[in-house]
Amino acid sequence: MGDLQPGPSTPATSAEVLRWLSEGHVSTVEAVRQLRRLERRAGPAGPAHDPEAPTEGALVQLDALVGLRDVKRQVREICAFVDIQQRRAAMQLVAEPHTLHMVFRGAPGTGKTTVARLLGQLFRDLGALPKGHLVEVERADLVGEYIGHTAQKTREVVRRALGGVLFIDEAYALARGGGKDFGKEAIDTLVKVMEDKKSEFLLILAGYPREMAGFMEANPGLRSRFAIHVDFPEYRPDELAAIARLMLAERQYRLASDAEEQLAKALDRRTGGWHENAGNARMVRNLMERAIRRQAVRLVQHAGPLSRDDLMTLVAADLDEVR
Amino acid sequence: MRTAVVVGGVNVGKSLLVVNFAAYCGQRGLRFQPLGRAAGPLRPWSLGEARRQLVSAAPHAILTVQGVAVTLPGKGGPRTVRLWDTPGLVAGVASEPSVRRAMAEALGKLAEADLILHVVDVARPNCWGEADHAVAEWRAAHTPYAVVANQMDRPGAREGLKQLRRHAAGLPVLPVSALTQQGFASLRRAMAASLPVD
Repeated sequence: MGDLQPGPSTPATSAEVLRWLSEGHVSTVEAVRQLRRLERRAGPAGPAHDPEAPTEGALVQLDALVGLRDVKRQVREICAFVDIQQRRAAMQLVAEPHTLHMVFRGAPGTGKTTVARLLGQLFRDLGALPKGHLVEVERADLVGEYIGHTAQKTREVVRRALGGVLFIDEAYALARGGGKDFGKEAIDTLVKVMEDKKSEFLLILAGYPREMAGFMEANPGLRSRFAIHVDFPEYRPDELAAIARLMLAERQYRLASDAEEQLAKALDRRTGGWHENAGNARMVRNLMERAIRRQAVRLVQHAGPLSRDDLMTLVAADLDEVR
Repeated sequence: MRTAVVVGGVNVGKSLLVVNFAAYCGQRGLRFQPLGRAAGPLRPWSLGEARRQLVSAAPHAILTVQGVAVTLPGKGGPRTVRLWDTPGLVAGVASEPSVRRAMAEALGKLAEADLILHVVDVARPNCWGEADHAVAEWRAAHTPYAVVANQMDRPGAREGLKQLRRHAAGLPVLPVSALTQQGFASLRRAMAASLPVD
């Protein structure tokens, strides 16, 4: 699980400085000083114009994600490793083959798919994957209905993912049916193609932490091929609130201060593991979408002119359904 | 299109400067584009409407960075530039989350500016604050930069202007009044001189 406090270190990118500023960790003046420091370090061209840093776009997007401190650190480590192995290979040094298949452990709505998509882009920019696209599947896309069908379906999915990332959500469901289930056939097929097409695609198995642990335990053939495990903690209430604001800002809405308070209270009530939707960013998205619809109903009934502000602002009443 | 960013403290007159300067440059309907959006409102605002919507004596009347396109005549042809209005900078950590996010947006926009107009209210005592100093130190070496000494129509402004020239040593200072449009001719000349022809 990640630390709860932002680290004592200084921010490493300008996106990070701006995030610290908006989260209230640094003053405006301090943020300006940090931005200046970063620019001086990067030289007069500035990091954005550095042709040596083609991964900047995806890395900036990664940094811009709310929370996920340890996940970001791990992704940077993996990218550094891939980068250096490639450079070693270019200099005729022995390079570790990058069979970097991964397990993403976390509840739904904790950012697994988002990070998987960014990893594909990062690997493409590093030259480790030719296309870097994401193919997202689940049990039903892999498992067939008769003998032989499953292997065929699974191989077809892998073929689509070649050059990019194959992301299997709720992967433990492949072992659900017991020994005679076709899920076993899908697993065997995956193990085989992982051997045959070693570095041609990146396989990510995702799911709830406990279920994934049991699944890997029961399948030694898989376990030995996944060295990298990334844990996605549930979002804290303040992080969920930040996600809500980002979502709203993208659509040009904002929360009135009473709505902000109400959302904070509702999110606090929902934490604590016992709630099935605790720490879930998707829940927040749904709440905001509903609030936007309720605001529309409220405004339509409103007599008199509507200002630009009225049209942008969600008030506490719009969030009423949050319980 | 080039990017000119109008920055400065709270209530120094940035929004009025943007609206009235756009009007001075012959813009009649103002179509403000909010940051991060391709399109602005469906119909342009009249000047009066823009003033009513954007200009306010209350601090942080606007918390969105938004821009309006203006065309500047100049030597060799016109220059089109988008003039971005930003929320007033506070030096410390703002207590309102929405204000803090607005600060971050403003700084993000500054980093990509082709031209910066740093507005200061010279009718106010100690008009060059800590945030003003930090921002000028950060950007002035990289980007064409002018300090706009606003509120020249107010009493005490001449004294403030003298003080400002001392504090902002080495930076061009342009005295204007956003209200009376005094000084807009030199402002437009200075902007045109540091922007490329379309």
